[in-house]
Amino acid sequence: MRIIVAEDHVFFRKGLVNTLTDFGHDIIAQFPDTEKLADRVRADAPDLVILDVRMPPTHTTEGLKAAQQIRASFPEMGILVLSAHVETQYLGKLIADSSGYIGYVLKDRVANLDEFSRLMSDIAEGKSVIDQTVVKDLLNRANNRAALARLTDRERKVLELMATGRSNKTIAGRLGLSRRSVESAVSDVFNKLDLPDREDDQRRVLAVITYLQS
Amino acid sequence: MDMPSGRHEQSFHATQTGSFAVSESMLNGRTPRTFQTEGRTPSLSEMSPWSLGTSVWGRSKSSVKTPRGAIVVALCLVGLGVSVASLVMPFPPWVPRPDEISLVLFTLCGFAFLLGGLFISLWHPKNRIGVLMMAASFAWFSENLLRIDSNITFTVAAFSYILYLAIIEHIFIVFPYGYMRSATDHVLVIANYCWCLGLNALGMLVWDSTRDDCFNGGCPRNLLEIYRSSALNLAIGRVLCDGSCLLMTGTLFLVAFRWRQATVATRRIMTPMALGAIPVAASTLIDQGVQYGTAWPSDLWSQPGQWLLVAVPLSVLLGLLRLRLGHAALTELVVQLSALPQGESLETLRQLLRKTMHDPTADFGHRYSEGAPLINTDGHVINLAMARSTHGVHELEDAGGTVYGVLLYDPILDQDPRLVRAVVEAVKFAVQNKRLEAERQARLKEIQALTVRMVAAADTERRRIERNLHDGGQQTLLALGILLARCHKKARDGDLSTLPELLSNASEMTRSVVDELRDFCRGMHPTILSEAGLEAALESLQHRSPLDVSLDLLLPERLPALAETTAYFVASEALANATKHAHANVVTIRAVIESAELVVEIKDDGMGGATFHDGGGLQGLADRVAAVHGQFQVHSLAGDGTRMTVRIPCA
Repeated sequence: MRIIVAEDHVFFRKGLVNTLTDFGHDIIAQFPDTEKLADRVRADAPDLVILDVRMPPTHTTEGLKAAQQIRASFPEMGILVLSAHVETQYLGKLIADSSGYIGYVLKDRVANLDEFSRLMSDIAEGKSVIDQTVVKDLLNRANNRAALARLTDRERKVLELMATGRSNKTIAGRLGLSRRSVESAVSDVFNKLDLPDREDDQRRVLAVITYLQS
Repeated sequence: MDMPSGRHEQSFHATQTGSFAVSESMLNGRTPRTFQTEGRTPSLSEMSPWSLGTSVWGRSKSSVKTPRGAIVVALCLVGLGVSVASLVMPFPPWVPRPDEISLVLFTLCGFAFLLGGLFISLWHPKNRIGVLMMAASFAWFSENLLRIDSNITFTVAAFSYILYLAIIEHIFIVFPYGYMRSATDHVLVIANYCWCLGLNALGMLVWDSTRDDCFNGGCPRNLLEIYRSSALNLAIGRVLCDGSCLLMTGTLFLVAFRWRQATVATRRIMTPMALGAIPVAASTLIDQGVQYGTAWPSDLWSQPGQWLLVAVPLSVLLGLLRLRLGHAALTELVVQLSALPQGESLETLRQLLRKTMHDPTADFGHRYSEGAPLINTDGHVINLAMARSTHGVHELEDAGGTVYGVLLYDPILDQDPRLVRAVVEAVKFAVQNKRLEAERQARLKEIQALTVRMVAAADTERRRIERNLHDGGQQTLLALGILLARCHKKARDGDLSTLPELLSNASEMTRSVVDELRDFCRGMHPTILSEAGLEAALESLQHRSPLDVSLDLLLPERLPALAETTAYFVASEALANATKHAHANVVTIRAVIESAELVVEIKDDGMGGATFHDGGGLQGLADRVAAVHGQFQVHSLAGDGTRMTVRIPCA
């Protein structure tokens, strides 16, 4: 994959780039901030852009803003947002504007090299990957708790995995259920939450996250 | 800390230096030493009339020791005796017996003078009107001596009885002050006495009292008689009458003129007396008219106009009573002042003053800051020299002797200095109360603002800590995690060629994290400060600073931890500013104990021009110092270096 990295912390950026290189990816550019990122993305059209949420100059949400900008121009370019913390507040717009090709994970995940490699590929292929910590955080929000109370335990577990971007097949494997049971659970979740059922795995992730975000 | 290029000199006082002291005299009840009655109008009764009163009516033996008290009691008894004698003394054959009513009226009139005189002496011991009234009473009663069959007493009585008229006019002229204020006063008073006594004596020289036309005839002998001439005596008597009427008219005019000229407050006191003068004049004219053309009044006790003279003691008493009525209003003033809402203007205070003092010209001037002019509620500047020419002036001082206000009132009120003083004290109390309240409010606001800034500063600090941990330690540890994962993968895959280098990197990264954390912790709170004290901590600052730092430390012992920490952070921040912003080369840090205060001064030779602004480093330091009740000053002229001084109480 052709990848562009934007990360201000030198050690982490180096570690990330080395890892990606180990996996045989082509790092076509790396930036310590978002200043020249957009131009380069436009010029080189990479398969995946990896960016840190917090970057200079204000160290707040520069990365997220850059990601939204890229998303607006390139709906089918893979964007992986890395964060040191669970910051679900900022996620909303980016998720809402995306239909797949998006990932939001904690930086810790990078150290799990194989899984990280896999999720990068998933994103580049059009899937949506949301860190399970983020999903748990969303599910635990006060305004979601009441709505989610209507779900059964199984539906809740299915929802959690669904929100992180897992396919029905993966969910069935994880929970030791049949594909059919998972499908009916998914359908129940959508019904109970008043969400239109989506055939597309990726779109339904985003729908669920958007729902949980609101 | 920002370093704009403009010229700035700022001084921030973290503690308010205003005085919170309530006037000492108010607390311990001592008379403030500053009290004075402006000398211009001599005060007539400095001492308390009521203290005299209690001594008269004697709660304890010791209080009767007061000579004045004894005199008053004696006079009272004598007056009572004389009055009783006037009623019961037998009428000798040469005196026509008056009817009962006339006799009672005569006695009451004399007694009223005595009682009025006594009251005035009690209320205003130094006002001679009291004495004059008593003298008038005795002159009045001296008529009764005519009833004694003795040549001597008869002669004395015949000579002195007319004196009451002169004394009454004397009272009119000197009212309400009790002393003569002008040449006219002197002329009139002296003329009166001379006229009455002189002409009476002259008439007596040629008066044969034993003759038939004196009373019923057969009176005791007039010892002054040297030549008998009833024609001459009659002529002198007529001149005396004419003159008396003339003088009385003059006095009336003087009183009327005085009244017209008087201020409102003075008129208030003069009016009863001025009105009282009319029946007195009428009485004189009537009586003089009745006896006109006779060598001797046919009946002294039942003269038709005499009872009108009761108006004198009554009107004088009423006038002086009105002066005292302020005391009752004073209670109201104190009540109103104590209920004065905080936001109430000084105008309300002025209105209350005017009401209490019955003086529409009473005014109150206030100094809004030290050295500012005294301004009344109309916004006019009060010129003390000019005010003194028209008003009684009392300056209000605080405990430190600073004049913060002035009270102007009609000088007539100085006749009752106790009232003035009570009003002054009440006003002082109210104003100081307001000042204290205002100071309290200001302080409260300051503290509230400080609290908000402290919370904000704490928040900023937490953010800084979070950023430091996030950008420093956490990121390095995340990178370390990735590195170790790569090592693991390579080891698993049997790719050992790059493993030593990767592990060496990992170990280097670990060291880096440890270093970062150590620096970070020192920034949070240097261990050396708590372990070895401020001196050692400042020395450590000196060693670590890239600048040429010279220390001048004289701290013989350890100080309270909060003082040390605060001083250290000021020094540390000042040094950081000198390095980062001011581009200084040389810094001097001085730390000493001065009168139970830790004084730390940091001076650099940088570009200066540091300013306070919200959320800025200087403001943060100022707040930090204020929180430990210290003072923080910054002198930072553009181009002239920066000097920070911090004073922290250590007692």
